[in-house]
Amino acid sequence: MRKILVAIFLLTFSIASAQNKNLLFGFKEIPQSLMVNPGEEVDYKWYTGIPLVSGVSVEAGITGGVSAFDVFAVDGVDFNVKFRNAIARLDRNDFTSINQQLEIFNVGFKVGGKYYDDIRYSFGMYQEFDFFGYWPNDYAKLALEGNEPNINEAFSLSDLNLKADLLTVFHFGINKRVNDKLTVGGRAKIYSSIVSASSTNNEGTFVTRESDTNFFEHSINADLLIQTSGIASLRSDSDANPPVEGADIAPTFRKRALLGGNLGLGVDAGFTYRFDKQLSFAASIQDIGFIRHSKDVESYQLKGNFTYDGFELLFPGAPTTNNQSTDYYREVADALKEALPVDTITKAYTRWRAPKFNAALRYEWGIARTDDDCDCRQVAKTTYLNQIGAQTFMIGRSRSPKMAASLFYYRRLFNGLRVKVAYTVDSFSLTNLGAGMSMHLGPVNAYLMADNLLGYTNLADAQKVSVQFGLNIVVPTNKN
Amino acid sequence: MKNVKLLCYLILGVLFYTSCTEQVDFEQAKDLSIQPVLTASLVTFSASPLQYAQPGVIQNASVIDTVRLDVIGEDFYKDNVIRTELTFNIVNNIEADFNLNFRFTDDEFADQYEFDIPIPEGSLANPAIVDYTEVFEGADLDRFTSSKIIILTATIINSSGTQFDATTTSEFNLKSKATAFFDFDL
Repeated sequence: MRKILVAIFLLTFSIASAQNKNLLFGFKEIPQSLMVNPGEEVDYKWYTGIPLVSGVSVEAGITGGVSAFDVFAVDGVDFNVKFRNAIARLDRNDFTSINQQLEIFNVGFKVGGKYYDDIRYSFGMYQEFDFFGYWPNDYAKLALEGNEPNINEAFSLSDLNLKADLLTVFHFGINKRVNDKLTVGGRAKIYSSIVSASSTNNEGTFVTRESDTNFFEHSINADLLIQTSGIASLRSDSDANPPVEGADIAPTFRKRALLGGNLGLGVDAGFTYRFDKQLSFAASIQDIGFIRHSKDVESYQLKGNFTYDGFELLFPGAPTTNNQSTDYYREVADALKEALPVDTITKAYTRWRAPKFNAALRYEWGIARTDDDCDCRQVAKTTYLNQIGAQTFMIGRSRSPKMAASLFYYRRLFNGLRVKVAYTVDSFSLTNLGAGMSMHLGPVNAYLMADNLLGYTNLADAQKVSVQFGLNIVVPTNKN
Repeated sequence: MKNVKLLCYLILGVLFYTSCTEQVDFEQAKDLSIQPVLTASLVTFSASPLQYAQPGVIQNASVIDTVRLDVIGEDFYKDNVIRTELTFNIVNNIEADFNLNFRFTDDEFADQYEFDIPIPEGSLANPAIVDYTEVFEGADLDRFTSSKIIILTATIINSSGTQFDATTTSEFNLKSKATAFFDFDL
């Protein structure tokens, strides 16, 4: 048992998350909690996000225990020493992750009966930027050290593994309280890609080996593919007709953001199940979907094998003119180009979105006295002051899923303020303390959440920063 | 209500007043210097004494080849390489001395640099092994990078007049590599 616990502990610590909105998950007073679990037990008659400020989230992190402070601190240590020390701490499974989302609009309303067994709809649009890249360890090693200190060591070309996406998402969700115990929900999404670049399935090696015929034999076998869409037409040497330049970029982006780009489909689904009034379990999946890139596609493929161990001199005699000198080097370079051609491909391709999974077990206690009218029929759900729970998060990434685990405590303070604190372990940080609050002043709801609070004492030294905030107008059901 | 406000201010205060950045200086990136060392095999050749032989006796004779190496004249190489080494490994089991002469010239065959590697005679039982490195730095490196063509002259010096029979397996073998020491300053 102890071994299993240690294994789970290590697993949780060795892999990490981004886009982990653990504070928002289950924070049902905030309408945006529906964006992480469409099956959340929300309770609104209607709500509307204040356009452009209803949901802003930024999250950035780097694993491997490296921060900007390690490298750029003003501490009198030679920059190159700090730089090399930082690099030495990274390996090929460390990664950088940046995610930013901005809600353009988000609206929800209830249809049907008077109480809780109603259907709620919500829909809106948000913009998202997502970058995820593994540390290109062997490329960096080759660039920083060269091949000379690494004879007989194979550099892995698969260490190039990254993706970047700028897109908008149009979504429509349904939330249904099936009975006292179960609430389910789903959300359909249309992705409209603005620009996209990715290279995640690379293979091959470059190695310099000792040889019998000469000092070394250099061999490369490569199968590399970089896929882009929406970028080719922006290049100044673009042959797109007409080319997109300077001032034309904003209207082009706007058009692509409004379903004029490469499109995709996706779904979210989730549920909340109550074992009893106090104990509940909730889980959701987000972004099970894909984008089909068919417009403005430009991909680059490098595929082939080449081995070189020098060239043998033929001794044809003394040259009398420049033309008679044998251009061995050019012959080798030409052979290399032929064996390892870079092909430009415009074929359409499909990329899966990074799916996300959230689950939480929650326990509530301490009945709240509310200002609401006496609910003699007890149809309204009991409101509790406290909630404690354990939560897990997982996101699918190209090599392996990244996970995080949290423990949280939620407290209702007065009628207008709810706070939540969470302790999260992921590989960005072992001491990630987050806090969020949701204020309700009349129908105005403002929320602010920040992860990794300990990191804010020195932002530059933080492995990860994460902030979410927003402003909504929310009219709850029981405030008819 | 007053309490709510107070609490909000408190939480916001804790969040923002504790949020700060200790002194960092991103200008330090200017000092970054990356110094990879790249090495690559260069030419090889092997020679049998019979290639140099008049019937019976080897004469003092030379063979010549030229190698164009445009890469060393390129700006990328000139701007970022601070040292170049040409390393040779020669195994000679021919019973005759050799001399290797390397002449570096520009496109018009104007000499830029020159060096020789003398190889003593060896035998099948006791081959002569020569490891030789020519280092180019400073002004020598400038002359090296001004070159486009390397002219290699291999001369056999058979002072003792050794006779070779047509079935001799003795050989002269050369391996070589170039090592470039880069220094990229951002």
